Amino acid sequence: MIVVDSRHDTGAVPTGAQRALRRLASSPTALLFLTLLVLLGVLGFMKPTFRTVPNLLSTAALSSTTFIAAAGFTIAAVTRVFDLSVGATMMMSGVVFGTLYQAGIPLPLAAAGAVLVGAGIGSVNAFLVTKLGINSIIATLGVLFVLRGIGLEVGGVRSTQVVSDAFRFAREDFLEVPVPVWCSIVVVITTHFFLAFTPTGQRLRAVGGNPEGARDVALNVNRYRTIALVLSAVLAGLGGVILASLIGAIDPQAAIGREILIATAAFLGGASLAGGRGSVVGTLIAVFLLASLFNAFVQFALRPEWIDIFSGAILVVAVAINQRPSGGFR
Amino acid sequence: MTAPATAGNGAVRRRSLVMAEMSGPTRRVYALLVCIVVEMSVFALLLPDFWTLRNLLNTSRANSVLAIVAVGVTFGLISGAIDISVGSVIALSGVVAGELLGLGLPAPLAALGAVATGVLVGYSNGFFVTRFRVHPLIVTLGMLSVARGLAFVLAGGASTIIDDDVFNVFQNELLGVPLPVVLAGVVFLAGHYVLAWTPFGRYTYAVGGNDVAARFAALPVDRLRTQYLVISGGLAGLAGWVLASTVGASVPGAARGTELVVITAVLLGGVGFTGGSGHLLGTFLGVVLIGTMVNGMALYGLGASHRLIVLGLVLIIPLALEARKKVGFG
Repeated sequence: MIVVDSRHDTGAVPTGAQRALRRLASSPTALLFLTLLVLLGVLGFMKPTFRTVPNLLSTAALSSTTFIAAAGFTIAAVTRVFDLSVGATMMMSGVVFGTLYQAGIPLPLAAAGAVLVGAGIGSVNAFLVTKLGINSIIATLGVLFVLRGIGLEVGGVRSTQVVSDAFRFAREDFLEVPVPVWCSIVVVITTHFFLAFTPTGQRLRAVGGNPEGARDVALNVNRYRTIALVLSAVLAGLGGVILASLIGAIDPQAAIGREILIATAAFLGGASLAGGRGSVVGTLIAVFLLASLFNAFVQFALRPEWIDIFSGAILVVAVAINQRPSGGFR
Repeated sequence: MTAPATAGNGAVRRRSLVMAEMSGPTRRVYALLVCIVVEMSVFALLLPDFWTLRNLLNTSRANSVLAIVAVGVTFGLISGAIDISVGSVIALSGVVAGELLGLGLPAPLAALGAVATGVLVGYSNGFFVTRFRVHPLIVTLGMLSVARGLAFVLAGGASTIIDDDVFNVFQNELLGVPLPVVLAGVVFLAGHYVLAWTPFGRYTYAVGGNDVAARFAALPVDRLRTQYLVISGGLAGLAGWVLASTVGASVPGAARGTELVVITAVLLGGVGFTGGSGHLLGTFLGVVLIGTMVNGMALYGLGASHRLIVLGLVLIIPLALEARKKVGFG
């Protein structure tokens, strides 16, 4: 891949094309978008069924829950806190959503309650990380275990169908576009605006990129970490509501292992374990890239195991490419 | 967790490297011993079958794979490289051994193949960590998917019965002790010797505690890092043989989630998440505590849901009790 290293500069004035290449190489999002376009082009060329609008839309709809949770993960990663409990939070909020709705609570209230449960989980994560000083990866890993255990305890391994068209709102179309895709669009616009243009968003980036520096300029680091973790869980909760609606059931086994896919997308989209970097738009492109790849695996009737192999390899290679020459080990 | 920083009154309380690294975890060792005694007494009171030689031996056998892998993970984690690919490596190396046997190779070669698979995976982990400066968590997360996928592809998606007395040597006992337990004991003693008494082992603390300083001390940091990851992978490969041998089958879906249990045990044993601290005595006690807990809960009739919840709490609570607020990697 093109990684321009200034050490090899000979001092010659770069041509316009070289400058453009450099700018491209220095923007992971642009590189990723190009990769996506190439992938879609190749796949569409090889398989005409792939490049149909309904196929692309259904890919987008099915991956929307992953994206919405991944947007939250990205916000947290930018702040250098990592929320591995997102998959379990999705499951939990979906279960709460379905249970409340079946108990006769109106749909919007049930959804709000489910998202609130997400916020509660986020607060627990934030408490563990900011008040007790536990590393966020470990704290949220523990919360993941606990949530999965609770889900298994209250729901067992079977899912319960919720027979209601209103509950399955996510399967509907609005203006020919599936509802989950609209949700993704709203989420990507608001979260990108939040991260890039609001003071809070910029402070999250500052806290993630340089916690000591942020402390020195009197930013309350723990407050921003709390904001990031709660936002992450709230978005996971929203994703869980939509997922439950797509499945049309209360499923205590929903989104198992989804945290890995979500983390892969966020890191592929430019987030870094060193914090301070990452973009929701990059994550969106990464989610769609992975979803198209999985879709292609299905269309080409490859063994599903190849998905594991490819997504793991993509994660490592993408992060390797994203590393700056100046990037440290952690 | 990490050894308490002695920087504040360093002149007064200057300690040797060994002491500095022991001071934190030693308290942990006493705490773990108390926990184990309490836990075993509770189980002995509740369960008449618990405190029988047969059950204790069975528990040890069931946890020997966990123990062997934990030794490798401890090496990795002390050197600052968390290895979460171990569960998949156990499965992959078991499958490789099964395939080699299927090709008609003699059992010792198949067993060697299992270990070699682990070594190879560990080496590739180290390669990406040191050459491309990708964080070990991400590299091994990718490897977790890749190795699992490869295991399924190689095995053709199905388990194979292994019917070879030499390969299945671990179904036997030595003087009444199951062979896997003997092996786990040997691995622990050897690991402890290397970690505590050889320069190669002591360098884990240097590399994990402060890799910049280690570089200034002219240590070949990258090569050492790779070697520690090779140990982690190699021992996971060995554990893959042990598991396939005791089960008498190569199972591509084996040991799913083992990495999380192993890491819980290792962290519980006092190895710091960010490297540079911990020792194998702690890891051993962590494995014993978690192993007997899982066994006792199963005997008591508690299912997977409770196991998950307890595992999550066990991961969080010790760290919460320390309540040490750290600057930086939050």
